[in-house]
Amino acid sequence: MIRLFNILLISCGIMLPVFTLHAATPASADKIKAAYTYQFTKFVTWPDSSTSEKPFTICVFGDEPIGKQLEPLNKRKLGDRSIKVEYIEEIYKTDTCNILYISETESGKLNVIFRYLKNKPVLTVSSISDFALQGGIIGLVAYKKKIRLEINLASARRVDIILSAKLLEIAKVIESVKNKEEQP
Amino acid sequence: MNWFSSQSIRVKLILIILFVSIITVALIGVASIAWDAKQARKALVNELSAVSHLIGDRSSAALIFDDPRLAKENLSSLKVIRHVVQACMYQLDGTILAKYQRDKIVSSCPPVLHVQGMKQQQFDSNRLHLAFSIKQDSKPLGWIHLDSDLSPIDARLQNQMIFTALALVAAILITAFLANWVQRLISVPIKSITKVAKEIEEHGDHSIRAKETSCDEVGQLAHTFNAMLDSLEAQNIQLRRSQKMDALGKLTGGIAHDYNNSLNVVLGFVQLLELEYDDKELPETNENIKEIRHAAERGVKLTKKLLAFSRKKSSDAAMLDLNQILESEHNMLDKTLTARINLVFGLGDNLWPVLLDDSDIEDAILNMCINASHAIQGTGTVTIQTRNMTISELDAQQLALNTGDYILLSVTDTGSGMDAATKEKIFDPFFSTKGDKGTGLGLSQVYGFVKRSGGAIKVYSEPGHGTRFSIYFPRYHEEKNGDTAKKIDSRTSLDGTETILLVDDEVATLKFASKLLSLHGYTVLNAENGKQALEILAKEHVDLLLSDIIMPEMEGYELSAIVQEKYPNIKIQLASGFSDDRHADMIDKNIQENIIQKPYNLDILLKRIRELLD
Repeated sequence: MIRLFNILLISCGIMLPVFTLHAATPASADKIKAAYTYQFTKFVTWPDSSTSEKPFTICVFGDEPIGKQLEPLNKRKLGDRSIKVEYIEEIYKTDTCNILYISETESGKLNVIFRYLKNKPVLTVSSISDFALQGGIIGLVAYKKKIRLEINLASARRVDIILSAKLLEIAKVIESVKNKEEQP
Repeated sequence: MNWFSSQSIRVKLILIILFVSIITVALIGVASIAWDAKQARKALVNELSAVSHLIGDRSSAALIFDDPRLAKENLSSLKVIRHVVQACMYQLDGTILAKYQRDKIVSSCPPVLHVQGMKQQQFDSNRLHLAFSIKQDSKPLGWIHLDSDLSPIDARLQNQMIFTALALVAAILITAFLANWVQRLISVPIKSITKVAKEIEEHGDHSIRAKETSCDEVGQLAHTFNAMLDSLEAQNIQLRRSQKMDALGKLTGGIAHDYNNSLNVVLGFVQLLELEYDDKELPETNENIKEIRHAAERGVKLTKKLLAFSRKKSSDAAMLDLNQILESEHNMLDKTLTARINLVFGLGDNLWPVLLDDSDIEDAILNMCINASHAIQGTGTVTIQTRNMTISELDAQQLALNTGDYILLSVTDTGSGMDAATKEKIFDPFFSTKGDKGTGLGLSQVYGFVKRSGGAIKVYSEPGHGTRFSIYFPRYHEEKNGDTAKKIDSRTSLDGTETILLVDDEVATLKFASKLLSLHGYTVLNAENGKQALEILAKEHVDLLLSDIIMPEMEGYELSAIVQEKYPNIKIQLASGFSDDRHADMIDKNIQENIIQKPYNLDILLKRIRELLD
């Protein structure tokens, strides 16, 4: 049993960079963020999830070390869909993305990005502060040496992305300023 | 076991039924408790597994995104399951993500390695430990470990035990009632039979009968018991009668014997006197002697009747056809019964032969007809019937006979009948309903004769309805060797010159007989007892031994047995006034059958002596 556990542990280590470790160093924080980004696939349902011909695309927007951590996913599959990790420089190239990880360096372009993605089923993830508040779907927030989630449920719903209740349970649900403004 | 076997059936039945039902209920109880305990454990495991899986599933995000708050929240939901004492959730690396404790007592979660090494469920003395790995898409995310106390099992077992105990009590009550009922079915009738048996034993009252309440085995027992009592009562009556008759027979036989001896002497000397005074011209003396002889002969007749009652074996039995006897007696009977009484014969065909003394049977028929005529006032009918009859076992018991073939002779009258008390006594010697007219010996003579012939006599009578005497004679099976009865040679001369040894304890008889035999030419030697006789035999030549049977010290049977052995050439003739069968087996059947009766009839004695010596 113990051996089996060790094997499991090792295989998990290969599969994923150890994501449960505390975010002590920037590198390990990136690892965790990358792991979380991958794990979101298990709690998120995209409207076109039935189409299996296209690969599941995880896009990284902006200069971000997390891309390095995500690259190993290229070899893996999500169900019967293959996973593709892409680096994107131009926002209008994001149409094929299922997950769009936005680098902290791109915080200034958020408005443009959100406007472009307005009706596109793209799960936006970023560690930019108040990302969810500004209209992003999942924000990764460092809190007490751990990484916590902030989720903007309205943004997700708008593009028909369904988030699992389990995910919502562990996250802080944020209502964006914009949403508040939109409400009468 | 000894204690048990000494108990009454009632107690035994109750104990057995109680024991069996208690054991049964207890076994069922224990089995159901055991089964229930197993089921309870299974149910507990199932319940907690389901809950664990649910919590694990609900906590997958918490494990993935490292969120102890949610994990703890999820674990806390276990508080609604009161028996869960502690729950721990582990992450893949073995750290404890969250922990739940029911009570405030601080107890730490077991190390993860222990949890991983565990079987899914594990019972110890008072806890159930459960461990599951939490998985998502078949990939492990962590572990959950649950500790539960066994209170639900205990509670369930407690309930089961209470139920079993109640069932046991109910079973005891029901079976006690049932056992009581069953024992009443069995032991009460048995008790009543026992009570009847006891009463009979204590008071000798055979008229009591057990109650026959049902048709089952116990009812049959009561019925059979009653039937047994019926036959016992009948046998008792029979036994009492035969004992009474036996006693009376001995008494009358004894009296008759002594009386007979006296008569023997009187008649003997009268005969001598007659011989002596035959030629002389003394008519008056002759007349006196004749008178004495008549009186003595009347006495002999009376003693003969008495002896006929007490005698055990008929001396002159021969094969007879009852119908023939009756036919030959018909005229005589008709006359005896006179014209006022109609005599009807109903004789059966092909009647089997009987072995009887013809004079006895004639006397018996005459006796019964005379009694019938006395019972009939005015006109009436006497019916005499014969028929063959095979007596079955049942009838045989009633009649105190052996099973087999019998010839039934019945004499029925239309007379006044008898009550039960009279019926009881009619065979007693000297009992008479006719006052001075009767001797009271008629029916006792018949009874003695019937018994002697190996038969039985039954009386059916009711006051006002007449009486029927039914006599059963055993069928005689003819011997193939021909007629055993020897014809008496009718030779003219009864004289002889041989030497005869006379043995009799009665000196007068001895004297008379010796004179009588001397007159006929015989040399006569006298002995007063067996010892003297043997002494004489040792010295003198003797051709014939004539001995009395009943003598002090040595009986005639014994003497003749010795003589037969020592002097086989000596002929033996026994004589008695009173015969019984004691020691009769010591001697030849031939001698036994030819015993002559005292007082001696001169003709018969002389004829018999010649028969033996020739």
